[in-house]
Order: sequence, then structure tokens, then C-alpha cells
Amino acid sequence: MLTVKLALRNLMRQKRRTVYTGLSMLVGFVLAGFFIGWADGTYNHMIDKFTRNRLGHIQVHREGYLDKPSLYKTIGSPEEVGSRIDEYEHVESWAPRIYSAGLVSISEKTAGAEIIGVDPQREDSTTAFSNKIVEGRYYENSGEVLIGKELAKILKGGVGDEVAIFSQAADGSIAENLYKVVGLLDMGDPRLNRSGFYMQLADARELLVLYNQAHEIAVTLYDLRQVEAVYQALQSEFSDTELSVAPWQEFAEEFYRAMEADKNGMYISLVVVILVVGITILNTILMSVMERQKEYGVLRAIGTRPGSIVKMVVAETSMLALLSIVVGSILTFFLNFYMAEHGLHLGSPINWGGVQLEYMKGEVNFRSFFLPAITVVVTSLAVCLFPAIKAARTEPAKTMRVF
Amino acid sequence: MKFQLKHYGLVLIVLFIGFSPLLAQSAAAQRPDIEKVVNAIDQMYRHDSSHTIMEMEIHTPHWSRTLKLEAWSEGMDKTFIRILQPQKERGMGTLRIDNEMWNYLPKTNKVMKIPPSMMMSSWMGSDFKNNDLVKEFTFTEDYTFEYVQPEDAKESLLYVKCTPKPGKPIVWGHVLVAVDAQTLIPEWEKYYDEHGELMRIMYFKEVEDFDGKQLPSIMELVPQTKEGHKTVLHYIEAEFDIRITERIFNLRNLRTFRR
Amino acid sequence: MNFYLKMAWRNIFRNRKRTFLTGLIIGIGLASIMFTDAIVVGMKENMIQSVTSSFIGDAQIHYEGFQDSYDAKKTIENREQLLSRLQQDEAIESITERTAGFGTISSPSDINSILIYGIDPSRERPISKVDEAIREGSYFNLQEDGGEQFGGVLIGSKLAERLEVKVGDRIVLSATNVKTDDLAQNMFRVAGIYTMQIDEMDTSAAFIPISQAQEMLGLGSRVHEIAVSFKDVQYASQHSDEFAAAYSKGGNKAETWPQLVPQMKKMLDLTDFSVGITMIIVFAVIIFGIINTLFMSLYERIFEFGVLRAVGTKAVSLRKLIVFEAASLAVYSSVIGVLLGALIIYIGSVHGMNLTGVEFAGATFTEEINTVFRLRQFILHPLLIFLFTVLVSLYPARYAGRMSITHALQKTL
Repeated sequence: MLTVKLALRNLMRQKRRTVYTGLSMLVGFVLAGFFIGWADGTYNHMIDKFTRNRLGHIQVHREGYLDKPSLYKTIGSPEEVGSRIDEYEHVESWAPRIYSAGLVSISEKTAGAEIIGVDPQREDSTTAFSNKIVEGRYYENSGEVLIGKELAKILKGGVGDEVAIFSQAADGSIAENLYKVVGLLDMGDPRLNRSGFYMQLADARELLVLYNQAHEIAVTLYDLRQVEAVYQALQSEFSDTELSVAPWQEFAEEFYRAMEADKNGMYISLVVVILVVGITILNTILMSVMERQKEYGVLRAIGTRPGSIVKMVVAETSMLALLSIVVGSILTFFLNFYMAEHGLHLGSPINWGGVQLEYMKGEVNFRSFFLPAITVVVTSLAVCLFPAIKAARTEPAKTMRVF
Repeated sequence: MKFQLKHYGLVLIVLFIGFSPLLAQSAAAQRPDIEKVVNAIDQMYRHDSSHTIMEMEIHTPHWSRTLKLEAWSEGMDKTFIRILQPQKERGMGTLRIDNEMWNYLPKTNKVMKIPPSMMMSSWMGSDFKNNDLVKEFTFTEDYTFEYVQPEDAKESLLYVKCTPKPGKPIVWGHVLVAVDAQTLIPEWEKYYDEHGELMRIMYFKEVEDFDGKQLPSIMELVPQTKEGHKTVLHYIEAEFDIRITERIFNLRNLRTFRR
Repeated sequence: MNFYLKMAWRNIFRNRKRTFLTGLIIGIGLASIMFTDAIVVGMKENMIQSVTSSFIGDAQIHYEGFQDSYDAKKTIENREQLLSRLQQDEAIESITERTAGFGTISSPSDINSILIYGIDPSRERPISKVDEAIREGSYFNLQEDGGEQFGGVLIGSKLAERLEVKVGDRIVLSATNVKTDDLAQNMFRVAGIYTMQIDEMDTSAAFIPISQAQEMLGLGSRVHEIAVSFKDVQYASQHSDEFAAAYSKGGNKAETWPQLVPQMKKMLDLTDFSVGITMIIVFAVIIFGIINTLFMSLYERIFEFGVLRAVGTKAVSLRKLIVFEAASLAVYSSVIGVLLGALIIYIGSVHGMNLTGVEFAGATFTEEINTVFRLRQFILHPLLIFLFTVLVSLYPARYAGRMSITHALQKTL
């Protein structure tokens, strides 16, 4: 108890030194915490935007569909499956899709196309589908289709044209029908722009004889960070069916790998930041302890045991560390919270993969407090121990020399 | 020495042994000239022109259907096929001239030109590839052939092994054809890949008279490596080497359809 | 001037330990900035490389409109002229030609529509990584079949699966001959099977020697695509417009990878932005460290400064001295920092960092990031640190000049 009192008084006595040391810990903590919050936030934001754009956070398919897609591998009663998924609180929205391929033609021109059947309302609320229209309008009546803008070019057609489609239905019969192009899309993906033919789900079901079926259910969550939890839950929910659930890391593998690679680059920077923070704290404390060699000398001279000196120094440092961690946490929290809510507005929005990034967002997470705290504690304690022990051991006479 | 019974037997044996190579040879000599056989196989479905009505049964693991078709062909280059049944596809037509192909879809009243890249894929979901229907290769010109005698050989059949000549763009390692020794009409064709794995079998059944010619009326193609697939072509009517007007092989004809 | 400089140097070395410590921390800070810079450059180059060298190359030239539908008739205009101009271009390191056209590949099991690329095996090597992506077989060893020589074909692993073929098996490629409009069918043998981990390449592409492709398609000596790589990785993004303007003539269109793969460019722009923020944070930490350190060491010497003032040193002179000391310290630290930074960057450039162990477009593309040397790391950053250190010293200098002497002399313990 005496140690603590002494430590406190020592700290208050030498205000300047206390402020310096404390400040270096504080600033180091906040900067490191902010960096982590910002880095994690940015990545999660990017991943979120990218997956929300078209793929969804989680997808449900018939077992084996992802490996080898086939017209016949369908999800039966997708609406039922969807409502079961909807019951989970973290799920924001879900959308069913049908996939096929065929030939499409406007007047004279024919081209191969990817046929995608979507539920107009669900698709829009899940992936903001209607935002991708660059010309024309969204679905209003049955028999209307949206096509990729490049496909329109290849077919030498556009909004208002009649387009014929030729494919094979699930019962083996020839699927052919006429539809009206009401809008052109920019999906952000050149492949889809060149071959995307988006029909309404009901029309696709009729064309392909896939009543009450779908190939895919895309699910979006409120918060990307819930993916793991929801994925596990859905897996066990559908474990006794022929359906399989996949998180975005699985069906967006190329993207996932690219993100991981990038993240690792970020980690290097993090290591650097933490290193520098640690060194700064180290240096500050070292200097202050060295500064006080004379003090310790005097204390020894009047009879203080070496152990007590060490204890005192450690007590001082740890109290300071604790204080700076507490204050730092509060500051970091507000800083990252602001970044998470408002973010940093980018000068010009970066358009990437069809995704518009306008803000750089931060994030509040455990790591942004934990890592800086550890850094502060470890460095400050490690550093104060050595010179303290040294001072405690050296002959008082030596340390008390003035000049 | 007296000519006894046992000697008689000996003589017989000697005669038999002595004669059997001759016997064999004459049996072989009775086998028709292989070139003639191969030619007959080639010519079987090849005519200068033809007009046929047939049924095509397609079986896949997911569905089975039967189409009724009417087809005209001239030489190797021109083909016109019209679907008569089922009702849903009635009126659909395919026209092929050289390397161009068009489909007519009655419901949408559209003539769609098929991009060359899609031309090679299966026709209407069957196991026949467009290449098969066109039959660009002939055994006579593009293969080397020899008689073989497989283990389970039937007396009434001749077996010919056809191997693609080096350099020919043919995927098969070899083709084994079983032909009726009398009529020279094939009973089956077995297609093997290079490693000797049996890939598909084409069966020829129920020989009937078509326009004066004896032909199998049923051609059944059974892939051996894919389960549940089979395609059966059943010729109902056929006339050959007739005059087909040019009007048939043009786009306008695709659209006109007298129901 | 000289006097102050001399005094300043001597002063800072009086307390060797402290100076060294201070110098070290500033030096380490500088080294970290240099290192971060170098790593980031390396990362970006790595990212660019992984995309361009997998197949695209740094830049490509096509006939205008070719890429819309890969119409085999749209071949490059004035090929010979264009090639000689490219060969004379100092910025270009390697050039290769390719043909590309849709066709089909068939095996006894299956038939697939694919994009058939005709490549020049030897010239292709330095530009793309097709040869490195090969898992089975080899990169175009010509096969012999009954005395005749046939080209080998390279196909993706997923395509090989669908066709149920292995190395050495026979397949038939068909494509339309643009001269005669006939369907050309040729037999090839599978020479190698590759995995690029790019879906489209693994499932629907095949590579054959360009001479055979030209023969099959009836192209003569014409080609569809010219791909080049530049000596400098940055060239493509920095001189994009120049390149495009120089070679987009007579119906041809020249594009650099930022134009061919705009998503990549955007990704890099994003990285630039994040790097900017990272550097700011790292700088902030270091600057704070400098402030802290400098202030502490200066305030510690208040007694000393008090003595100097008491002895008659003018306030101005004292201020000058302190600033000069800071400058000397900055130089001293910069030297330490530059040396340290150079060492780290050197090690990093030779011995790349393999971070993830994740396969990216083939096992050969391990995420090995090397640091890249850039002049600015050795000039700009030290300069900034120097300036800042000097700047920071102005405040305590002012304080020392104005403080009351008696107050200063009272600080003993």
C-alpha cells in the first residue's frame, strides 16, 4: 500500500515527466488502436460491398451444385427454404435465382447468353439490383427482361426491342419464347455485361419447366461479421436435406484470396506501427528512469532496500500504463466509432467491380483495444524493469554524481 | 500291308489335317473382300439425296422424350429437319448448308442463326453430335481395316476392326463393326478410345425394306461411360436418291410450315 | 555559424548514451518508414505481376473490335511494321504474338466449346506463366504419331476432367477456317495440363503452337493479338496514354493492363489510398516519438542551460545552439536510420517474405513480397525527418531562451 501511495506521489511530483511518459503511452495506444480499427473496418467494408453487390454473404444450393453446376441440381420449394432462413435474426434478406444458358437473338443477330432468373422484389432488396440499370427501367410486367449492356451491343439492339430465346428446358423439350427488353444493366463484371440475360423468376420457371425450383438462394446479413455464426446455424438447419450452405469465402474464392493477400500486406504495416509505438514507449520510459538515477541513489543511500525501489518503479509505470490504457480506450472507441458510422469520404468514389466505394469506414472491435493494450503493458513494464534493477543494485555514490 | 480299318482312320486323319488349311483357306476365301464390306457399311446411310420420316427417342437420367422428325438431305452439305411431334415443338426446323446452321422456332416465329461454336454440340439434347449426323468421315477413306475374330464371335457375323489412319482428326482409337455375313448389313458398331476402353455402341436393328433397299430401321446409340443415356432413331419412311427441289434448302422454307 | 555547429556536435556527443538512444529511436522510426514504403511498392508490383504475368501481359494490341466477339477475321493490321516499331521501342522488354478464336475440342467422352489460343512457345515464356502453370505433362513437346509430327495442346485441368483425357491422349480441335469458311478439324495430343486457378482458363481454353493455329484458321502469317511486357513494372500505369496513342493506328487498338483489366487498376488505387493513410499513421507515431524524445532530453538539461545563460550566453545564441543541436542529432539519426533502412530493404529485396502460403493462380505465385528500392526512400523520408526534428526543437529552444535563469538553476534533482 505504501508502494502505491509513493508511486502516486512520485508521479504527481514530476508532472512533466509523468505527462511525457503517459502521453507516449496514450498516443501510441490510440494510434495503434485507430490503425487496427481502420484497417479491419476498411477490409470488412470492401468485402461487404463486394459480396452484397451480387453474390450475397451466404449461398444455399443443392449439394454438388457449386462444384459442377447443372440445370437439374435444384433446390425444391425455394420459397419455403427462404422463409426458414428468414427466421434467423441476423438475416437481412434472401433472393432465389435460376441459372441456365441459351441462345438469344434480336432481329438478325444471335449470341450465346447466360440466363438468370431473378425474383424482382427480392433481388432488389438483397443486392440492389435495380441500381445496376443504366438505361431503361426495372421490371413492371411479366415478359420483360433486362440484359447486359454489352450484350445489347453485340445483338445490335436496345431498350424496347423484342428478344427471342432458345434453350433446353428441364424436361428435355425445347424452350423458346419472346420477351421485351426494358432495361440495360452494368453488372460491373465484363463477362456478365456481355452475356447476362436477366429474366423474371416466374418467366424463367415457365420457360425452363422448373416450377417451384431454384438453383441458388443468396442470403445477405445485416452485419458481415455474423457470417460465421449464421453459416454454422444454417448448416445444421439444413443438414438433413440435400442442400448445402456456403459462405462467401467459398463461392467467391478468388476474391477471398485476393483480400487475404492484401490483408497480409496490411499486417506488415501493423507490425511496423506496433513496433514503433513500442519503441517510443520504451525510449520514453528508459529516459525517465535514467534521469532518475540520482533519485534512486539517494533513496538507496538512506537505506531503501533494492527490492523496494524496483517495486516502486514498477508500480509507477503500471499505474501510468493503466491510466493511459483506460483513457486511450475511451478515445480509441470514439475515434473508431465515428469512423465506423461516418467514415472518411473519399475524394472521388472508386468504382470497383461494380461497387461504388464512397467512404472509408472504420470499425470498433476487440482487437483494436487488445493489441495496443498489450503493447503498452509489455513495453513499459519490460523497459522499466531493467534500469530499475540496475539502479537498485548500483552503489549509491556512483549514481549520485551530479555532473 | 493289308489295308485295315485303323489305316482307314489314319488316312482320314491325314486327309483331314492335310485338307484343313485348305478348308480354312476356302472358308476365308468365302469371306467377302473386306473393302467391299467396308464400302457397304459406308454406303448404307449415304445417299445422294434422301427424304425420311423418323422417330427419335432420347433418354437421359432426368427425362425421356420422343420426337417425330421429317428430314431431307442432299449430299454431305445440305440437311433440312422439321419436327412434327410433340405438339410443343411442332413446326421447329433446322437447316444446315455447309458450315452454317439455322433454327426456326415457330412459337416466336424466329429464324436464329447458330454460331459456329455451338454447331458441334449435341443435336436437340440427344447423344448424337452434329458431326455424327453429317458423317464427314468414311471407313473406306479415313480408316485402315482388317478382319478380326473376337472371342464371342457369332457364326453369322463378320467382324471388321477399323483404325483411323494416322493424322486423321478422329477421336476414336478404333471401331469394331459386326456385319451380317450374308446381307453385309451392320449389326453393331463399337467405338473404343485409344486405351481400348469401350466408349459407345451403335446398334442396328430390325431390317426393313425402304424404297427398295434393305436397311436397319432402328439405330440405337448407347454411350458406355455415361449412365442413363440412350438415343434411338427409328426410321418410319424413307426414299432415296430423289430429286429435291432447291426450295427445300433455304431459309424461307424454314418458316413455311403447313400444319 | 561554424562555431555553433562545432559546439552543437560536441554537446550532443557529451552524453553518448542518451544521444545514441535518441538517435536510435529516430533512426528506427526513419527506417520503418523506409521499410513500409518499400514493402508497399513491392506489394503493388506483386499484385500487378500476378495479374499481368498469368497471361495478359503488360499491354496488348488488337484490331479494333476484336475483343467484342473474337471474330477470327479481325486480325492485326500492318503486322510487320508494327512489330518492328515495337522491337525498337526501348521501354518494351518482350513481345509475343497470339491468335485466339472460338472452336470446339472433342474427346471420345465429350465435346466442349472453347477459346483456342495459338501461342509462340518460346516468345510466350517471358510474358506469361502458362508454362509454369503446367501440372502434368510438359510445355509443348511435339509428339510423334505414326511417323507424322503433331502439335501438342495444353488444356486446363477442369477441361481435362470433363473430357476425361490425360497427357498423351488424342483430341480433335475444330475451328472455322476464315479463308475458306470450311470447318477445319485437326488431331492434337494433350501435351500438358495446367492449373491457373482462373476459372475461365481452366475450363474453356486451350493452347496450341501459333503456326498450327494459323494453318488451321487459314490466317497465313496474321495474328489476333500482340502482347508485350515492359522493362519497368510501373511503365504501364504511368505511360498508358502514350502507349495507346503510339500504337493504336490503322485500325489497331493498343491497351495497357489498366485499360484491359480496369478492376485491377481500381484495386490498386484503393491500395494507394490505404497506403497513404498507413504512412500517415506511421509518420504520426514517429513524429510523436521525436517530439517526446527531444523535449525530454532538452528539458532535462534545463540546469545546464541555466548555467550557460548565467554565464552570459545571449538568449539568441542559446536558441541557435539548441536548434543546431537538434539538427546535428537529426543528421546523426538520419545516418543511423538510412543505414538501418538500407539493410532491412536489402534483406527484404533478396529474401522475399512469404506471408500467406496461399496459392494464387498456381503454386508458383506464392505471396512472396519483396521490398523494392526507390530513391525517394533514401532522400525524401530522411529529409522530412530532418526538417521535422529541427522544427520541433524550435519550441523548447524558445523556452530556453526566455526562461528565468534562477528558475533553471534550481533544477537539481
